[in-house]
Amino acid sequence: MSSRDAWKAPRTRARKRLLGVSVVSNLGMLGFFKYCGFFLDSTASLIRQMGFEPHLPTLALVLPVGISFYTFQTLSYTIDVYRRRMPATRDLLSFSLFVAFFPQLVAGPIERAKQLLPQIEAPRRITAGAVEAGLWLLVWGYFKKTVIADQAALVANPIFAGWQGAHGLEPLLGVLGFTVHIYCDFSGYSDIARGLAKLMGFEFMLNFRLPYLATGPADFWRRWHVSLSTWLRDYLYVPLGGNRGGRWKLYRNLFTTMALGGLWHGAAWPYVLWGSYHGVLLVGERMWRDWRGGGSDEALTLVGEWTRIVLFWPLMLLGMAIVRCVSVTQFMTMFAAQSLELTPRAAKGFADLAFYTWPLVVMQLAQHVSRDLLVALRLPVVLRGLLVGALVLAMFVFGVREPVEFFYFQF
Amino acid sequence: MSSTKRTPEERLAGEAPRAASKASVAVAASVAVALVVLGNVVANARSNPPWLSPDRRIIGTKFEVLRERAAEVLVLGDSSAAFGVDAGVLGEALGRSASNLATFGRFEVAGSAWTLDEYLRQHPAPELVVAVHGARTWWLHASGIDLAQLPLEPGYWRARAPQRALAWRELGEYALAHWLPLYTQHAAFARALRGGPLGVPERPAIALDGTMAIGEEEARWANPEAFLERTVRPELAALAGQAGQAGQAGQAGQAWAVPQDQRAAAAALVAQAEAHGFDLVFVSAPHWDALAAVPEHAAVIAATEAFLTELAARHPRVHLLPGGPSLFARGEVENPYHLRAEAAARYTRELAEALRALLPSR
Repeated sequence: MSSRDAWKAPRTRARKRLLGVSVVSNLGMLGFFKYCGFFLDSTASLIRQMGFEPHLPTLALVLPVGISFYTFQTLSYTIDVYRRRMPATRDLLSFSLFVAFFPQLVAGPIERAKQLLPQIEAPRRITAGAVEAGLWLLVWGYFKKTVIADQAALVANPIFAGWQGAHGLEPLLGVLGFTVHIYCDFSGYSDIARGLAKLMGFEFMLNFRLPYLATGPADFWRRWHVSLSTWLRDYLYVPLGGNRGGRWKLYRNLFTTMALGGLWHGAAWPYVLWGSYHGVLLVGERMWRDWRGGGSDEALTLVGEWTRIVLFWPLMLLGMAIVRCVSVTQFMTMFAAQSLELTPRAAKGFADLAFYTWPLVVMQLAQHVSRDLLVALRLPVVLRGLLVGALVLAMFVFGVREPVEFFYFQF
Repeated sequence: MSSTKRTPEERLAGEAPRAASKASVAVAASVAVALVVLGNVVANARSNPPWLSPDRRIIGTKFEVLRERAAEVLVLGDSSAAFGVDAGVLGEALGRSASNLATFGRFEVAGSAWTLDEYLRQHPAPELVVAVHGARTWWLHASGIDLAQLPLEPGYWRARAPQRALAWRELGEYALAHWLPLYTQHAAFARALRGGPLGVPERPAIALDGTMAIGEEEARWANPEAFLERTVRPELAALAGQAGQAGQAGQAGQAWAVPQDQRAAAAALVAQAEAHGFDLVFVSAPHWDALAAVPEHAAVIAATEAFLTELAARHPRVHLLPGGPSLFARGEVENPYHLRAEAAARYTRELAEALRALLPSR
């Protein structure tokens, strides 16, 4: 309602006031459910460290499913209407569907109103091409989730659960396993959501564009959770000043955006640290480019590209270790215990990981070379069918049966 | 090697729009379905019969014992009975021939009733049937895949007592189990596709009288704590949730009650005892002593014993072994319900004494 009034209001001050009402109420709900307990616990911990005994109320709130996703989605609508980038809708049913559309309700992609609302309001048109692409995304998404992600979790989780005893190459194996797990889990969910949408005549935005082939931090965030990174860019980084106002403000804005992006992922310090770490990487990359006098979009040869990809992997893995460890002590202990010793457990784990991950590597290389995420659909029709059948059979045989919740459901 | 430079934007992959015809989508889908069907047909040819899974091969062997051997004393029940009762020791103590036909708890008490029904179709009635079930067996519910593992004719759940109407989901699972072995026996095929042996020995280490024991290797990996925390406690919590919902709906209150299917299965065993004139003794299965400290578990045992006491009071040939479940220490169990071999032999002797005390004429 405030967006509708903001669209109609002729005066800027009135529009700003209505925007404020909407932003405060949306972020207030998110803050109450997601961050209240975190800030109370952190405050209590701080007071305790100062030698006092805190008497703060404790809240055991159940986090509403998908609240981080639909709050951002609703905010984008309000802000776009305020900026007059789109008109306010008068159709409550369409707006409700935009907020609560089931394929992407709990883990995105975070759709923009100006993209999705017109699709909801227009008559649906479902083509054979959309059905084919939708079915492919469903099968590939489920394969990534049930075979690759969940099997990788079986490799990584025991190592992080028994982190005190992890040694040799086991910490690296745990981080690699988690890196495979989180990507296939989340991008698998996005593929399933996008596939379902296509089958119903909708088009969701791309959420993953081969992030593990990124050449650096900025390139990584062009490819990882694109719907969030572009949201943060448009509704946080730009309002903070973006790249206006000199270098140091740009660095500050980059860091603040990433730290808050980390906090968005979860009300816990590892997420804030993870976001801050990526903020530092982005600032460092930007400083390096500024020092070299290069622009932000540096063109690379094939050799240069692959050199950068390989060089960025250790930095990315470090970020994955930060987000997966539950404490600084765990991170430091695992880091210190790391060596090149190939323990029997590590050897088996690497073999398992390689066995379940090779289809992903082959597919991503094909997608990268062709620059087409639907490259599998370029195969002749019979081979396409055989590929889908083989993936289904692989899910039967190698799919993990115990329910493993999608990692991003917790956000 | 290419020296062409590409910007980050040019390196990004997208989704190239493409046209497809309905015919090409249909052909691709048909080929995919055909491959899935063909894969399962080939897997079926390699695995059925007998199935590849160790559990199914144990059940198959138990049914071979059932068909080949008549006995005066039959032991039925779940895996606590399968591993906990030594038919040789029991037979010797009672001076009768004995067979252990117990299998797994996931078949519920109905599994015992259907096994007994099959036995009575093959042999004269025994003198004594000992039905040993752990508390967990009384709360489990068999899936269609479980029911497909019993080597009986399709539809046996309608033709044999206790008769049961399967839901569509269970019927679907039953069909899956028979026609999609790559799904229902996935562990065996996954092992084989990664270079391991296809299946386990066709005849597991089960004695001619149906006795089986926990091997030394299995005992070495015993982890009853993990089973208690990962399986028993979550299942008990789920039971408490179900009972709570039933209570909210104004039904039978919040305490767990013996489910209707289990009551019907016990009644089927009782009906066989009366029809064929043998004694039927229900026994609360032995278990790890740590389980006795779990109040919800004790409540399930109390509820099942109350039900069985009432049943025994109404039928002279039906008895409940008094004294509740026998308890065993951590070192005597493989999981909370499975006794290791030495403990099983000791428990069987104690069981025989208790049976003699209960039935002095035997």
